Amino acid sequence: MHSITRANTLVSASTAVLAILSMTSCATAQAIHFDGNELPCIAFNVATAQGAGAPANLTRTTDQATINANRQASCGPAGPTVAALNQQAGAVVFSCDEYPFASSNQGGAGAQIMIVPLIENNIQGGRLGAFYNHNNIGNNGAYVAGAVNVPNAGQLNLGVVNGFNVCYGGQ
Amino acid sequence: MKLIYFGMHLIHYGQVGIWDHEDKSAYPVIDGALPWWGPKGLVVPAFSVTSMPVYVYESEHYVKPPQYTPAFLTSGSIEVGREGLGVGNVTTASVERIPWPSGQVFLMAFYSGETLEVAERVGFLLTKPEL
Repeated sequence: MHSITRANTLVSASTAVLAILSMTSCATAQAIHFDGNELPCIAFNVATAQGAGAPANLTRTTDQATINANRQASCGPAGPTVAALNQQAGAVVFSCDEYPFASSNQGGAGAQIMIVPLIENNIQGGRLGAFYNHNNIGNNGAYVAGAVNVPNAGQLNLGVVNGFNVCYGGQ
Repeated sequence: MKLIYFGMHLIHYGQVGIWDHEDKSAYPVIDGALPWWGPKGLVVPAFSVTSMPVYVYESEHYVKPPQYTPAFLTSGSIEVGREGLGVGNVTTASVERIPWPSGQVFLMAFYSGETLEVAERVGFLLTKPEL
């Protein structure tokens, strides 16, 4: 009898723990981190934007008009500078990166932008899209964005063109 | 060659993909330059910040490039599950689902534009699996 009671207590405790874990799991937003060893300019832009007050807790928007407006409000002004950089002879093709992302409700005017190598922007977008799909993050779905292994400014080739910050890559 | 899908897609991050719609992990992301192949998807370069035409064709076998996307980019095979294919750009939520039978499909990608990075149109040609 005693052992049955103890077993029931253990089952109840286990159930309670599982319930707590389940609640925690539901309450904890999925996270995506960009690795500075792989994407030095992207990681630097994410980290410095967050250091300047941009939120790490984001919510996705799937409204295309909002996404497009966010992108235009953040990276639109840098468009001619990106185009001019890409007209110059050189192997690196550039793109504009913004944080918070245009696909988040926190994006848009006030997002921190940096002109970065297109290949970094491609990979970031691929990882973000795959992250949305894999984690079923739909409209207004919450997630956390961050950066790891962030290089410091001295480890990057940084510049300013027409008033826009440019990251040419790692040193 | 039969056009089975046409749509305008908002492009961010310089990419447009086609992947197994059923598998939430099908979208391939590979380090390095586009295109990216995975066992269940393909992602190709596209010009960002525009709405871009995307064409999907089916054919029994390859004859010639599609009319609006004359430049060949890449070819290979992917596996399709029970929900057909997703096509478009994920981050802009500009994705449509295309019915397609499950199994392996041979896939060719074409584009038009001065360079890959500024591709203005993308076409995918699908060959149905043999029954």
